[in-house]
Amino acid sequence: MDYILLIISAALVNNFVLSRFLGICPFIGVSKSTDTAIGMSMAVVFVIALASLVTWLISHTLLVPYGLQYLQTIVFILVIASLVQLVEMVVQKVSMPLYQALGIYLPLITTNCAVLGVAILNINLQYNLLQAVIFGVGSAAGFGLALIIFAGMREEMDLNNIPTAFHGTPIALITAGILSLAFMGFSGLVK
Amino acid sequence: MITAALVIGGIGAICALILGISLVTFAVKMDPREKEVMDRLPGANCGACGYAGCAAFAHELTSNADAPMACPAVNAAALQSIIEVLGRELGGVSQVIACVRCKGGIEEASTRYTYVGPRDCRTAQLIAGGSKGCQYGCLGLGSCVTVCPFDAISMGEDGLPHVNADKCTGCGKCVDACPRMIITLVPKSGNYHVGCISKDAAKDMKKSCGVGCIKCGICADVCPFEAITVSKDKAAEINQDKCRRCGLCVSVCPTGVIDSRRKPDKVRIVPDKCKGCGICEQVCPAEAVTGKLKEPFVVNEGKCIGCGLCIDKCPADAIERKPS
Repeated sequence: MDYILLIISAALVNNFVLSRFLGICPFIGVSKSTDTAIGMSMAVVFVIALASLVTWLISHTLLVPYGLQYLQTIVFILVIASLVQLVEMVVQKVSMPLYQALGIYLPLITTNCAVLGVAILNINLQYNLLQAVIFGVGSAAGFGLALIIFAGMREEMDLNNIPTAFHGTPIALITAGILSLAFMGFSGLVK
Repeated sequence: MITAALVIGGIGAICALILGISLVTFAVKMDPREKEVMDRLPGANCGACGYAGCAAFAHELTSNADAPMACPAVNAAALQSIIEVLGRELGGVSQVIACVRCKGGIEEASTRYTYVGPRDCRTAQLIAGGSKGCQYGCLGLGSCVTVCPFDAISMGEDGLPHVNADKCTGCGKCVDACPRMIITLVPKSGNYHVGCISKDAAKDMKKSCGVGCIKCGICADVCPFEAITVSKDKAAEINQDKCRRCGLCVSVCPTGVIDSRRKPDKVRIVPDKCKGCGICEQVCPAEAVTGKLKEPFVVNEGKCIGCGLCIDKCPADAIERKPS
């Protein structure tokens, strides 16, 4: 039951994009069509789940025992970047269709702050290994949910007559704000 | 301090080792041309080609023999070397520029009233449909000049906008800005176009403008390639796919409303190759070829319009374009 609540908390209540302000760049950049948004979401879920696992292990076997917590950020960046590269190579070898579906998005999320955010939050919130991975998957699912909803809205907007002054980025940001308002409705549901 | 250096260095070394090993273990055989094409693409992953990044586009170019060059950002030198790598011609994004289809400036076209409002065509258009006598003509207030992001359009003293072909990128912003839809995009490579879009019959049009299309149809009759269509209630229109830029229509138009940006190169007959068959004389629409049968024919340069019909028909490949 706790784990279900953890997922709901990570995905809806404390949504990464809409309440924590992390991962805004791909949220605006990769939301022009639902297809690319789904591709990006899958890649993020995949990478965050793996990154949560590996960074938690590194933090608790290397950094904490040697009192090197201050190196946390730089070590996590290093590990996540290498991990994504490794995953990309393995996926290309094992499953070409998956590699092509993920395409450019896999390398793009190497430096995504949402991925780093999950890794650091896992440590700060003092989760155990299972909780960390579940929190990662939940957060990534929330990111994907926000991204796909937003992409759907932007596709609809393209078909409508929008005043010239609002074309492009302005209307996208306004819509993102309204979407964030909507997600605020979940606050208080779970801590 | 030393522990920190060791930990960071160690993690870095281990990551590098794992990546290095997996680079070999998980190596995937791919078309070597793919990487070469990839190196020559801009590498900005802008997505303008319609693929998810330059790598995906390079894969498409090498794996699909019909894939066109969809990258608008690649420069001429890189394009040339990509063609060499692939060993095939690449069709692709055709370059277009804006073209103003009205020749009725201050001198030629009459006005119905004096407009003193804001210098904006869209505003002027709202006041009794614009001050110009012709309801299709250019209002000359320069909304297209203002909107052009490349500074490629300037307002001439004749009260008409002029497009600088070197600066124009064919973005089409002026096309949207013009309330009378006078501006269209045409191929950049030497185009011919009718400088009038009036739907008025000749006698109505003559009252307001001295240089419009009078729908006489002479151009359509004379065009050897059937590229021009004209009807009673529509100004002549040139089909850019069929037009061979010979310029016959320009020479016969009674009002001089057809414009060209660049004349094609004239042709000449190589005397050594010519067998004197005379086919070129028969096909020439401008009667520019003369000669006796079984002797080399000659092209009268003054008459040649550069349509290239004779080049296509010559059985001995004896005719070539003369670079100007």
